[in-house]
Amino acid sequence: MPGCDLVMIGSSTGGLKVLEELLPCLPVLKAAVVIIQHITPDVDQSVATSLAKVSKMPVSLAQHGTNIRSGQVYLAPGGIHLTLVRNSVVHLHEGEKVNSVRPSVDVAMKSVTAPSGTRIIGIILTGMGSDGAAGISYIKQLGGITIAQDQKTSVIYGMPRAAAETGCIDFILSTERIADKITAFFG
Amino acid sequence: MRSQRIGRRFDPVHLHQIHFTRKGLLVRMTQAVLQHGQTSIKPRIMLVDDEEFFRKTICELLASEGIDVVTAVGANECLQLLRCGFRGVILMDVVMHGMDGWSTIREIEKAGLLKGNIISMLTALDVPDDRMEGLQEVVIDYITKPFEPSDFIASVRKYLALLDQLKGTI
Repeated sequence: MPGCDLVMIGSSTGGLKVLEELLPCLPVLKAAVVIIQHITPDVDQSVATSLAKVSKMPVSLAQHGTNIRSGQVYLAPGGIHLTLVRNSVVHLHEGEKVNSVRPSVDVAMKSVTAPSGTRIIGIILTGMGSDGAAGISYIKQLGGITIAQDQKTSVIYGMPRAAAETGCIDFILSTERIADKITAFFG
Repeated sequence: MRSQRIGRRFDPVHLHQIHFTRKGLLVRMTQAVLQHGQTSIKPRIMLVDDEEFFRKTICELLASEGIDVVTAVGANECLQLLRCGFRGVILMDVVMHGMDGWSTIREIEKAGLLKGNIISMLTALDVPDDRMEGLQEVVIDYITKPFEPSDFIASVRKYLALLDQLKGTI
């Protein structure tokens, strides 16, 4: 099983606001959406519930062993790393923080593979630090499409800037344009 | 102005001691609460800021929207309120005399008082500094002063909605 097409989104501080603007703009996609939001276990379910209220796609907190499906949104739980096995099965695992965070965007994005015919979009949204820069570079190496949020619509232009500075970003876009781009690929 | 009410979970006597020494809106609000015995509703917003003008402005803004708020001048008061049982949305100034916002959050974490709270930074700094490193998971948002009142209220309402859905809500 090669797994379905993927949209991998990494975000941090200010991400909830951006995600609540982004998700309503998306139709039910022909791809699975995996969100790595820097978050604590205390609030992860609340965030998933908030996102579910505005999304046309079902949103759930990713569970260990879940087979991800097109047209669904999965939020990584707080306090644990998320990786994908063969782009299709959620694997949650303990481990040291990476880039001072857990879940780490880098860890999740670097677990993705690129089987023939599978399309991947990697996106880095608002946030402090540089988590996601290595991961988005990796997705670019796999042949994926890479997007960073622009400075104007970022609450904190730290992670998107770090991603852009890798030279591996295809598009630097506003929240609205990011939604358009995702829809153009997987709508 | 709509009334501001302090819940009994917060120990009105204790709150009175904290705020009575300060002039401004909250003193009046606290006195009113004590006088009228409105102890059944507790504030779900805590504003931590060492600037009286800003505290007053934010309190008035939130009050005009019917949102209950309690204020803390700095880290010590913030921690005291948390130890007294406050659980809710903490709007934390970054630059404060004494302990800054980042250090205050680390103290909250160290004291095991993070659970059940949502923290957003309120700051005049456009770009957060490196001291935020490691707190990304805890700080859910970052509001830069000056801000549009309507945007601020919208953000606060989002935090409150999130709070309502918190696991193990108090």
